[in-house]
Amino acid sequence: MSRRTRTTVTPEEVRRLASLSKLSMTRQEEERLREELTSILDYFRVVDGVPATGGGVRQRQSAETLREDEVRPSDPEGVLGGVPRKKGRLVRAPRVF
Amino acid sequence: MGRLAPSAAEVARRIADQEISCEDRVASRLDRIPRMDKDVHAFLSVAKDEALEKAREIDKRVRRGEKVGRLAGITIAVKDNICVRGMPATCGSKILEGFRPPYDATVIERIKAQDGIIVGKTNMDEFAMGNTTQSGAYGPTRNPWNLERVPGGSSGGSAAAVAGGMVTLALGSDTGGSVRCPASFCSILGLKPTYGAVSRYGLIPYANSLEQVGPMARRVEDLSLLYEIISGHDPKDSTTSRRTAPHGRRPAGVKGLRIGVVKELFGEGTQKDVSRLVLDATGELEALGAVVGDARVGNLGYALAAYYIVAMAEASSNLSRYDGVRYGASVEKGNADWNEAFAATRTECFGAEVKRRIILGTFVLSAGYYEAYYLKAEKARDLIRREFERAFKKFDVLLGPTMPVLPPKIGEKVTPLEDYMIDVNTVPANLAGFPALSLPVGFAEGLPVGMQLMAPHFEEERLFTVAASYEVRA
Repeated sequence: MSRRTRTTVTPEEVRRLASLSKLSMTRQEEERLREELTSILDYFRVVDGVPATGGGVRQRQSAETLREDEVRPSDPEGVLGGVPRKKGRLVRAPRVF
Repeated sequence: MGRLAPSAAEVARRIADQEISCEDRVASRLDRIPRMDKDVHAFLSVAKDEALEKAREIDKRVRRGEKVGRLAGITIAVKDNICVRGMPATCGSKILEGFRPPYDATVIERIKAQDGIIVGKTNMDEFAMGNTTQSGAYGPTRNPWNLERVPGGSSGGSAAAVAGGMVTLALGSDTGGSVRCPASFCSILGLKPTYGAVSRYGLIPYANSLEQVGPMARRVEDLSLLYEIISGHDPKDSTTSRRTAPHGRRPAGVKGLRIGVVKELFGEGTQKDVSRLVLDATGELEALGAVVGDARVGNLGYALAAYYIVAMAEASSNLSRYDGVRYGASVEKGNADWNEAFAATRTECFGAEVKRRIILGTFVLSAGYYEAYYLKAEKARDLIRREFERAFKKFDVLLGPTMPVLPPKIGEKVTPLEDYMIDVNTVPANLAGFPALSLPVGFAEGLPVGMQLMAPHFEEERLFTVAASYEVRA
């Protein structure tokens, strides 16, 4: 938890976050974002003050919400209708390797 | 203007009784849209032909003596993050350009089942991330009361369409105030229902644990009618409750109702005129017989940070689905690999605020920071919920200003953090899940001011009672 007091975000960290988020940016954008992140994260540290004995983390789901696993009507043509690049009924995706 | 117009229920009755034609009624409302909207820009798309066709079909059914729904002939605008089969759903983003959902959201199915007329999709902050309706990819919406001012957001298009008399009703979505803020800035009513009261199936997600679809209207009666129609359990949304909509338990009036004024909602950033008008309205409720007292809600100082941490964390996960492969926009990038191709589409098609929130959300969820930010925020959330539950033991309804400030000017330069700050009064209801309603309480410098009413979970009826008593007080 020693990192909790730290508020300065480094350029490397911005690049790592952008890469994880699948976003690319120019050096100038990186620097602007770095400054914004630093000030916003600094504000977020308000939650440091939440007492350790304070609230818990709630579970918000109950088992009564499960439904039967059964086949229902679907609309494959409608769903495929919005695919930007297709080959027949196949979805074209970027290469993986 | 809207106050004297007949209620939605009255219009539907007149249509059912063949006193007026549904087609004439709908056509007259549709005629107003281009006249008003050339300045306001509330709509991103208008489905005029479909609306008129539906109206003619209703007229035919009436003539055949068939029963029509409770929203027959009522024009409704829908925020562009709620799926209507065959209509665009851009979420105010370039990344969903061209996307037409092949299905209806549950709320839309329910509106259609009651013969409501969906006239179009409304402008919003991109992916509902904002409070001004300026951040979308399709230009800002302007406040119908003052075209130099923002209408609030993120459901600003829906609010402006209702306030400008372009439609009778609208749907928005409220993740941290996105129904109540524009309702307040546009001098209309807006409800953020209890979490789990209204289905989110077909609402394009931003922060699932916080958001609800909410109705917007000019009259309390219309607001509660639309809420009644869209609420209720939905097998397609496992977070909807089976104990929703306790219709018929509405208190008769405010006499004897215990109303708590939450001091913490009149913080240092609150403009004097806003405080004054909200306190004046509280005085009027007291004159009507409400028992008004001061309420204290502790730990609210954590609310804004906790809200943004949770919302951004959920957003970073939700928005990872936009890859340019299955729907929406796709940037062609030659022989690029999987990661490069995703990044090309996302980088070009997401706006600045969306990128900022995705990256911040990724940060607060990443190893080493999760405990310090996300987990603490969830703890704060639980603490705030318990504080409100305590306050609701003493009071039936709590109130304060919806927004601490008057509607800002369009294009006003503020930092992201300054922008987040004006959500301070609306986020607690999303964190804690209870219902909250904004109602107009007057104007300062010619600009609308709204008062926020809050009630315990599933006690929307109390909010309608207080708002209705205030509405007819004169």
